[in-house]
Amino acid sequence: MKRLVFDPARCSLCGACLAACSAVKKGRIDLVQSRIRIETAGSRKPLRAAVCAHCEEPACVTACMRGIIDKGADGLVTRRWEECFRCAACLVSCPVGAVLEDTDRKAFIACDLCGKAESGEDPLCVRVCLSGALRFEEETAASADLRSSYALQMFAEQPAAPTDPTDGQWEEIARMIAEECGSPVTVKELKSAQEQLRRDAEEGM
Amino acid sequence: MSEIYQDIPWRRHEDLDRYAVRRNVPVWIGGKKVIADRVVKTCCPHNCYDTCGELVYVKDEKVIKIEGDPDHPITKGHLCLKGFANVQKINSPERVKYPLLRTGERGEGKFKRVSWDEAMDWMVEKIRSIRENYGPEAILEYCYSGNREHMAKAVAARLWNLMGASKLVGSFCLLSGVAGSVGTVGSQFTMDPQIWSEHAQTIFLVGRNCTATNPHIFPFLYRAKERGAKLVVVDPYATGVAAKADIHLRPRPGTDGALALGMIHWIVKNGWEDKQFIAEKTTGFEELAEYVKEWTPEYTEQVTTVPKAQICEVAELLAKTDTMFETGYGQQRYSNGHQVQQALACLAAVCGSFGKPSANYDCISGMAFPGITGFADNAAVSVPEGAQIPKTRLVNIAAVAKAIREAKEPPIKGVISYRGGLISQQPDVDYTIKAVKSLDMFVTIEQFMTDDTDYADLVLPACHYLEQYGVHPSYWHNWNQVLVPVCQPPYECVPDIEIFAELGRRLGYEKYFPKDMSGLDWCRLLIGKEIDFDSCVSPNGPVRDPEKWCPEVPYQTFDTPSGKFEFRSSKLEERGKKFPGHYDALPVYYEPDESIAATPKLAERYPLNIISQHPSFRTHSQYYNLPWIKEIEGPARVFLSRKDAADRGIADGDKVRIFNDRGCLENITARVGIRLKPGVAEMSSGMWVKLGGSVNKLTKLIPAGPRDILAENGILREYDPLLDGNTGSYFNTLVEIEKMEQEA
Amino acid sequence: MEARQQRILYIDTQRCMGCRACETVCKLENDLPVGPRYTMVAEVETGCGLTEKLNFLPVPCQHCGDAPCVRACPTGALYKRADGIVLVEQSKCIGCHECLMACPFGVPQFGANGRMQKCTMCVHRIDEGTLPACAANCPAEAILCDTPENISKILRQRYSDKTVAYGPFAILLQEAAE
Repeated sequence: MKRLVFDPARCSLCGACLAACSAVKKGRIDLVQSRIRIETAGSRKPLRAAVCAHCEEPACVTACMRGIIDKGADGLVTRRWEECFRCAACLVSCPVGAVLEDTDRKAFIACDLCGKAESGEDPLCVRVCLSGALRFEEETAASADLRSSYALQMFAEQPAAPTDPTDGQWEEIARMIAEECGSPVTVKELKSAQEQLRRDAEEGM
Repeated sequence: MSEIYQDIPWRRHEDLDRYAVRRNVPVWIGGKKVIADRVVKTCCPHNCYDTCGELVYVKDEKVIKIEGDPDHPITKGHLCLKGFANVQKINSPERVKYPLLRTGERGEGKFKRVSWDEAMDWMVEKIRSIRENYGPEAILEYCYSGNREHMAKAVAARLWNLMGASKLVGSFCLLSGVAGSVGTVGSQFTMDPQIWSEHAQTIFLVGRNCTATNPHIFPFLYRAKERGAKLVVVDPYATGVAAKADIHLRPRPGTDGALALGMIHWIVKNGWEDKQFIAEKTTGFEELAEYVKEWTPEYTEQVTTVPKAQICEVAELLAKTDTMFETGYGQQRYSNGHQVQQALACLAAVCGSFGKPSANYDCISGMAFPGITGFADNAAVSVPEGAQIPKTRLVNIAAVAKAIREAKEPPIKGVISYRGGLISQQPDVDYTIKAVKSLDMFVTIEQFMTDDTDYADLVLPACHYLEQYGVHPSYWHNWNQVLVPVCQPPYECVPDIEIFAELGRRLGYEKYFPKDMSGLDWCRLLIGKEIDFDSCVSPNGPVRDPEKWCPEVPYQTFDTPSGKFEFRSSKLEERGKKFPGHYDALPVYYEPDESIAATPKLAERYPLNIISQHPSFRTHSQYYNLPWIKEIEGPARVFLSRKDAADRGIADGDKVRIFNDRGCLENITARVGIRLKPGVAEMSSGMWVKLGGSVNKLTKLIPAGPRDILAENGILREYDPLLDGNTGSYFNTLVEIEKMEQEA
Repeated sequence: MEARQQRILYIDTQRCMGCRACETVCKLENDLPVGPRYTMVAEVETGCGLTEKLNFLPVPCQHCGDAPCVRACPTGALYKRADGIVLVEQSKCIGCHECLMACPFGVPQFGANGRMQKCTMCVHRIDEGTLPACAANCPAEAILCDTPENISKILRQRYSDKTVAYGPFAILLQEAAE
């Protein structure tokens, strides 16, 4: 099964993945409601992505007091969120910090890979990550990519620091999000989301 | 006894425990300790320089582990990735387990299981009918180096000789280079690497991708380098060994001979040649010196694309330091292959690099040709005493498809194929398939369902090399051991020796294939009397080859007609009077058959010269189907230079189409980078046709080497493999590559 | 055990020539199917013009001193043995992949059971006093497994002091015997 894999070395903290996630799931750009979050050290240094790993033996499934979280035969961790009474056991027990409260649904939720697990197609958050920091990969491919990029660092000149999307790329990202959500998204909105993300990071949120 | 073992009355069942080096040996498998019944010593007989010593762990007649034999003086307990994958290969559920008779059309791959008796009866009936209708010469074996040991081939040769079948001769691998080398040097020897690694000041390594084909040379190269020696590598492709070189020369494919001539020019012009060696041990130097006058650095650069400064620098290094010439076989897989090797030998002689521990010349050991040279007594096996052996026509393996299609009086009607991938490994796949389809009988003895088996009438279950006897002296180092079966063959697999012996008995030659003759007895007969046989059979061995055939420091004398190194080859000159072809006494350069310089019109349409090196992942087409190996290698790839890729709008990772007038390959992954210079592409050899990646869909049937055997349709009356030598000229192939449109 | 006596796997990249024997010897030693790769040889192209070069780097577990995977593991399945070898107790693993995300080298692997598994430095062989399979087999003698001090000694013999006799392992064994 493919999973979301995050390479902090390539991430410029542009926030496009968070914007895309909330746009798809909430119909608006709302970073707090994004099911993928980037944990940072200070405002510029991404450390890891907190996003549901669809664990082999998910702590949330055991923890859930209503038994509404399931580990499917296909590997996906799914939730019947309509029945959630928000005990927060899943959030507390999640080892990767992937669970959040959906303020509209009044339920705890986590990334469901936008239903792309079966087809293996890239979800929107991956498509808008133009630097390749966020990838949708089998763990074997992820391991091979990580090993190769480590080897590259060893032999080649230091890789260039990741850069923010260019204006053209911002437009491309906005177009992709709008196409997927069916409602317009402006570059301005995206850039202000990015500023918000960096501010939050700075403040250690 | 293994439950998968099935009894066949005539298959020998021997006590193999006598070959045990140790018994009841604990061995780790997946972090658990298992007690192996025995450990047996053997060696790998694949077509590779190294012929590694192996220790094989067997439990319940099943190979459970392999490791290198630490007592082997050259391979020192190390194996390559294929060596370990043998455990997966020999135990593969996909092995051919039983005789299979074709039920569908040729190429459909539909078969039914038959018994060995039915299979043998079918073969005997077919052979008899072909013999009656067309004569015995309508039968031909096809055999090459899948298992490169010589024993089964010699037993099969006994049968073909008795029958009067057409005889397969030659090679499509390296004989063109051998012709150039034998023509100038005489008999071929190699010097063990532990000698030159301690003495040489420069190592000049040409056309050998050691990572894949000679990994055990590396500790010796490193030893030499750590002593301060320089490593110079000549290869159009950036190989693993080129990455370790002090200087890497990257000629245009097929121009290594020109490069050597340019270096000779520079050495002679500056008076750096080894005058004493030339005066005492060579003939014809003046003529060569005259010929190389035109090979100025400028002209050489123009032909080879190697910068002239590099040519001069390396020429000076070779002449002024003690240089070990280690030449491979890549440089001679062009239609001018013999000229390349002839020129390289001349370069070594100009530098005086013969007969010294610090400076010598390696092409191939004479032990590679047991029928012709060396201690093995091939005739004792292939020509049985007291039998009448008719003189038959010879078919050259470098043009075998042509011979099958063109032979008359009689035509070739039956082919029995073993130890070779006829369809995937011969040049021009589509042409070869047409040849195979024209046969009345095509039998393959195979371990897996390959490209060949799909077209076979009868598929016989072959043994892995660990399940049979064999004799395979290395052609690089000088150590030898007998291959013994480490375990009983599984299912209904039968060792090749026993298949041919049984077929011989059923064809009426009981007298010559005695039932009580074991594989070990055959090996004893083949190895001859110059070597203490028992000392090279597990638990003993390996042993050093006899000094007579494999001197420690060879080439102190030359056994050419003049007794000297011949810059002007009298043998090639003589031979040229007899046969058509490119027999030049001097290493006169000419362009490969297909290249941007030789065929500029064709190059307008197909501007890229594709070469097909041997990768680590396979020996020729073997191991390609193994899961471990596939995982490491990934999908079929073609390597391109950045410029060629940019010109075609191809990015790294794109799917491309490679094509020329002979064929087309699709969905190949492009790898763009530094491994090749503009104008050259590389796609490794040995991938299977039915799995979509055989580069031989593109290559051309043009046997390299001095003799023009195509003029004779590959069917010969007389043949000297060491002078007429042929090789598939796989690397002079022009193609175009284009990006494939992605489906939306 | 003092830190400097911890064994490490060291790759002499000047020697590795990309034959990839370490990959299959590892599969065989650890009885691995297709999928988990305890080591993998990465190929890197560098330079341009006359400096163009292929480089190879086998990437087994580095058994880091302060291992990020051990720190990232939420269940304590990953741990460091007293001699520094990083191991996993599979029964404690929940397959959350945090170790894969934390490891800078992409080392953690996941087999059919979804639990983490990885290079153990062939701990079973180490405990018997032999080298890991990849180090014992490496045809180029590029994979070294020893204490940092001894590896440093080997490398100095290879690349600085040209007067010593060949065979770093032989010398070390000799010293150990004395």
